[in-house]
Amino acid sequence: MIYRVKGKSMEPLYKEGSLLVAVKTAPLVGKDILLRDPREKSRILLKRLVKMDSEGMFVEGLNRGMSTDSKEFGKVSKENYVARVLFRLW
Amino acid sequence: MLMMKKVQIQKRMITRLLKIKEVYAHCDIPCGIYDPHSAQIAALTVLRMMDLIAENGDNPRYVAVKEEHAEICKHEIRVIWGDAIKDNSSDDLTHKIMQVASRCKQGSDRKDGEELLDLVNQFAEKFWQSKSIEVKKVKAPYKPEEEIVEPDLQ
Repeated sequence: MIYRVKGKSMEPLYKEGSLLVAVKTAPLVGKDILLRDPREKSRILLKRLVKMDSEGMFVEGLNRGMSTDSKEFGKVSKENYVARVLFRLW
Repeated sequence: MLMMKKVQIQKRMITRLLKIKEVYAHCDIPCGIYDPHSAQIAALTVLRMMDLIAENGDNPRYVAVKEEHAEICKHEIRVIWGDAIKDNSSDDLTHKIMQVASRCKQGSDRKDGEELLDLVNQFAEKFWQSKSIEVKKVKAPYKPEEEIVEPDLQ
Protein backbone atom coordinates (compact mmCIF):
# COMPACT_ATOMS: atom_id res chain seq x y z
CA MET A 1 0.00 0.00 0.00
CA ILE A 2 1.27 3.48 -0.85
CA TYR A 3 0.87 6.43 1.53
CA ARG A 4 1.54 10.13 1.25
CA VAL A 5 3.11 11.97 4.20
CA LYS A 6 1.39 14.99 5.68
CA GLY A 7 3.20 17.04 8.32
CA LYS A 8 6.75 17.71 9.40
CA SER A 9 7.35 15.47 12.41
CA MET A 10 9.36 12.90 10.40
CA GLU A 11 11.68 15.34 8.66
CA PRO A 12 14.34 15.18 7.35
CA LEU A 13 13.73 11.58 6.22
CA TYR A 14 10.11 12.06 5.16
CA LYS A 15 9.07 15.47 3.99
CA GLU A 16 5.57 16.79 3.46
CA GLY A 17 4.34 15.06 0.28
CA SER A 18 6.80 12.14 0.41
CA LEU A 19 5.37 8.86 -0.82
CA LEU A 20 6.15 5.62 0.96
CA VAL A 21 5.34 1.93 0.69
CA ALA A 22 4.19 0.12 3.83
CA VAL A 23 3.14 -3.50 4.35
CA LYS A 24 1.26 -5.34 7.04
CA THR A 25 4.13 -7.30 8.57
CA ALA A 26 5.14 -7.51 12.22
CA PRO A 27 6.40 -4.27 13.81
CA LEU A 28 10.15 -4.00 14.42
CA VAL A 29 11.81 -1.72 16.95
CA GLY A 30 13.91 0.94 15.22
CA LYS A 31 11.76 0.88 12.08
CA ASP A 32 9.20 3.42 10.93
CA ILE A 33 5.62 2.30 11.35
CA LEU A 34 2.08 3.39 10.67
CA LEU A 35 -0.32 3.35 13.59
CA ARG A 36 -3.74 4.67 14.44
CA ASP A 37 -3.69 7.91 16.41
CA PRO A 38 -4.80 6.79 19.92
CA ARG A 39 -6.74 10.07 20.27
CA GLU A 40 -8.45 9.97 16.91
CA LYS A 41 -8.59 6.45 15.51
CA SER A 42 -9.53 7.48 11.97
CA ARG A 43 -6.13 9.18 11.55
CA ILE A 44 -3.05 7.12 10.67
CA LEU A 45 0.27 8.36 12.03
CA LEU A 46 3.79 7.82 10.73
CA LYS A 47 6.32 7.48 13.55
CA ARG A 48 9.51 5.62 14.50
CA LEU A 49 8.97 2.64 16.82
CA VAL A 50 11.43 3.27 19.65
CA LYS A 51 10.39 0.69 22.24
CA MET A 52 7.88 -2.12 22.44
CA ASP A 53 6.81 -4.21 25.44
CA SER A 54 3.70 -5.79 26.92
CA GLU A 55 2.29 -2.34 27.74
CA GLY A 56 2.42 -1.16 24.14
CA MET A 57 4.51 0.72 21.61
CA PHE A 58 6.52 3.89 22.33
CA VAL A 59 6.76 5.94 19.14
CA GLU A 60 8.57 9.17 18.33
CA GLY A 61 8.88 11.57 15.41
CA LEU A 62 12.35 12.03 13.92
CA ASN A 63 11.92 15.79 14.10
CA ARG A 64 11.79 15.79 17.89
CA GLY A 65 11.08 19.47 18.36
CA MET A 66 8.03 19.21 16.13
CA SER A 67 6.29 15.96 16.88
CA THR A 68 3.25 14.91 18.83
CA ASP A 69 4.05 11.35 19.82
CA SER A 70 4.40 9.01 22.83
CA LYS A 71 6.06 11.81 24.77
CA GLU A 72 2.61 13.44 24.70
CA PHE A 73 0.10 10.61 24.44
CA GLY A 74 2.07 7.78 26.05
CA LYS A 75 2.47 4.20 24.88
CA VAL A 76 0.09 3.06 22.19
CA SER A 77 -1.69 -0.27 22.36
CA LYS A 78 -0.41 -2.81 19.82
CA GLU A 79 -3.89 -3.16 18.35
CA ASN A 80 -3.36 0.31 16.85
CA TYR A 81 -0.46 -0.93 14.73
CA VAL A 82 -1.22 -0.69 11.00
CA ALA A 83 1.88 -1.41 8.91
CA ARG A 84 5.66 -1.16 8.65
CA VAL A 85 7.34 1.20 6.18
CA LEU A 86 9.37 -0.71 3.58
CA PHE A 87 10.81 2.18 1.64
CA ARG A 88 10.26 5.74 0.53
CA LEU A 89 9.39 6.33 -3.12
CA TRP A 90 10.36 10.02 -3.07
CA MET B 1 10.02 25.39 -13.69
CA LEU B 2 8.42 23.30 -16.43
CA MET B 3 10.15 20.23 -15.00
CA MET B 4 8.76 20.94 -11.51
CA LYS B 5 5.24 21.28 -12.91
CA LYS B 6 5.67 17.99 -14.77
CA VAL B 7 6.74 16.22 -11.56
CA GLN B 8 3.77 17.69 -9.67
CA ILE B 9 1.36 16.50 -12.37
CA GLN B 10 2.97 13.04 -12.27
CA LYS B 11 2.56 12.92 -8.48
CA ARG B 12 -1.11 13.87 -8.74
CA MET B 13 -1.74 11.24 -11.44
CA ILE B 14 -0.04 8.50 -9.43
CA THR B 15 -1.99 9.53 -6.32
CA ARG B 16 -5.29 9.24 -8.20
CA LEU B 17 -4.44 6.02 -9.98
CA LEU B 18 -3.18 4.19 -6.91
CA LYS B 19 -5.67 5.62 -4.38
CA ILE B 20 -2.89 6.72 -2.07
CA LYS B 21 -3.84 7.26 1.57
CA GLU B 22 -2.47 9.99 3.79
CA VAL B 23 -0.37 9.34 6.89
CA TYR B 24 0.26 12.06 9.43
CA ALA B 25 3.78 12.91 10.54
CA HIS B 26 1.94 14.89 13.06
CA CYS B 27 2.57 17.76 15.47
CA ASP B 28 -0.21 19.45 17.47
CA ILE B 29 1.87 22.22 18.94
CA PRO B 30 5.49 22.52 17.80
CA CYS B 31 6.72 24.02 21.05
CA GLY B 32 4.92 21.62 23.43
CA ILE B 33 4.13 24.49 25.80
CA TYR B 34 1.09 23.87 28.01
CA ASP B 35 0.13 26.27 30.78
CA PRO B 36 -3.30 26.88 32.35
CA HIS B 37 -2.37 30.50 33.08
CA SER B 38 -4.18 31.76 29.95
CA ALA B 39 -7.39 30.09 31.17
CA GLN B 40 -6.97 31.69 34.59
CA ILE B 41 -6.49 35.15 33.06
CA ALA B 42 -9.61 34.56 30.96
CA ALA B 43 -11.62 33.52 34.06
CA LEU B 44 -10.40 36.63 35.91
CA THR B 45 -11.45 38.75 32.94
CA VAL B 46 -14.94 37.21 33.01
CA LEU B 47 -15.22 38.07 36.70
CA ARG B 48 -13.97 41.62 36.13
CA MET B 49 -16.52 42.18 33.36
CA MET B 50 -19.28 40.90 35.66
CA ASP B 51 -18.21 43.46 38.28
CA LEU B 52 -18.18 46.26 35.69
CA ILE B 53 -21.62 45.23 34.46
CA ALA B 54 -22.91 45.29 38.06
CA GLU B 55 -21.39 48.75 38.62
CA ASN B 56 -22.16 50.43 35.30
CA GLY B 57 -24.96 48.45 33.67
CA ASP B 58 -25.12 46.26 30.57
CA ASN B 59 -22.55 48.00 28.37
CA PRO B 60 -22.34 45.93 25.17
CA ARG B 61 -18.54 46.02 25.27
CA TYR B 62 -18.44 44.50 28.76
CA VAL B 63 -20.87 41.81 27.68
CA ALA B 64 -18.89 41.08 24.50
CA VAL B 65 -15.56 40.83 26.36
CA LYS B 66 -17.15 38.63 29.06
CA GLU B 67 -18.47 36.21 26.44
CA GLU B 68 -15.24 36.23 24.45
CA HIS B 69 -13.12 35.41 27.50
CA ALA B 70 -15.49 32.70 28.71
CA GLU B 71 -14.95 31.10 25.30
CA ILE B 72 -11.15 31.61 25.53
CA CYS B 73 -11.23 29.92 28.94
CA LYS B 74 -13.08 26.92 27.48
CA HIS B 75 -10.65 26.70 24.55
CA GLU B 76 -7.51 26.87 26.72
CA ILE B 77 -8.79 24.20 29.11
CA ARG B 78 -9.87 21.94 26.22
CA VAL B 79 -6.41 22.11 24.60
CA ILE B 80 -4.60 21.12 27.82
CA TRP B 81 -7.18 18.43 28.61
CA GLY B 82 -7.03 16.96 25.09
CA ASP B 83 -3.33 17.24 24.36
CA ALA B 84 -1.34 17.33 27.59
CA ILE B 85 -3.34 15.29 30.13
CA LYS B 86 -2.92 11.57 29.59
CA ASP B 87 -5.34 10.03 32.10
CA ASN B 88 -9.08 10.47 32.74
CA SER B 89 -8.75 12.08 36.16
CA SER B 90 -9.65 15.56 34.89
CA ASP B 91 -12.67 14.57 32.76
CA ASP B 92 -15.37 15.55 35.28
CA LEU B 93 -13.61 18.78 36.24
CA THR B 94 -13.17 19.74 32.57
CA HIS B 95 -16.82 19.03 31.84
CA LYS B 96 -17.85 21.16 34.80
CA ILE B 97 -15.63 24.04 33.56
CA MET B 98 -17.30 23.83 30.12
CA GLN B 99 -20.75 24.03 31.73
CA VAL B 100 -19.97 26.88 34.13
CA ALA B 101 -18.13 28.88 31.42
CA SER B 102 -21.24 28.56 29.24
CA ARG B 103 -23.35 29.86 32.13
CA CYS B 104 -20.93 32.81 32.39
CA LYS B 105 -21.50 33.51 28.69
CA GLN B 106 -25.27 33.44 29.13
CA GLY B 107 -25.56 35.59 32.25
CA SER B 108 -23.70 37.95 34.56
CA ASP B 109 -24.19 36.33 37.97
CA ARG B 110 -20.95 36.87 39.91
CA LYS B 111 -21.39 33.50 41.63
CA ASP B 112 -20.94 31.81 38.24
CA GLY B 113 -17.76 33.80 37.62
CA GLU B 114 -16.40 32.88 41.05
CA GLU B 115 -17.23 29.23 40.46
CA LEU B 116 -15.48 29.32 37.07
CA LEU B 117 -12.32 30.80 38.57
CA ASP B 118 -12.40 28.26 41.40
CA LEU B 119 -12.75 25.34 38.96
CA VAL B 120 -10.00 26.64 36.67
CA ASN B 121 -7.75 27.04 39.74
CA GLN B 122 -8.50 23.42 40.69
CA PHE B 123 -7.61 22.41 37.14
CA ALA B 124 -4.32 24.37 37.31
CA GLU B 125 -3.48 22.77 40.66
CA LYS B 126 -4.05 19.25 39.29
CA PHE B 127 -2.12 20.06 36.11
CA TRP B 128 0.99 21.33 37.91
CA GLN B 129 0.89 18.56 40.48
CA SER B 130 0.75 16.00 37.65
CA LYS B 131 4.10 17.49 36.56
CA SER B 132 5.41 17.17 40.16
CA ILE B 133 5.50 20.96 40.47
CA GLU B 134 4.37 22.52 43.75
CA VAL B 135 1.78 25.27 43.59
CA LYS B 136 1.05 28.41 45.57
CA LYS B 137 -1.98 30.69 45.80
CA VAL B 138 -1.42 34.36 45.02
CA LYS B 139 -3.80 37.27 44.88
CA ALA B 140 -3.94 38.86 41.44
CA PRO B 141 -2.42 42.37 41.73
CA TYR B 142 -5.23 43.86 39.66
CA LYS B 143 -9.00 43.91 39.90
CA PRO B 144 -10.92 41.75 40.67
CA GLU B 145 -7.98 40.87 43.00
CA GLU B 146 -9.03 37.23 43.31
CA GLU B 147 -6.71 34.35 44.16
CA ILE B 148 -5.11 32.27 41.46
CA VAL B 149 -3.04 29.09 41.67
CA GLU B 150 0.47 29.41 40.26
CA PRO B 151 3.43 27.02 39.94
CA ASP B 152 5.90 27.58 42.78
CA LEU B 153 9.13 27.67 40.80
CA GLN B 154 11.42 28.74 43.68
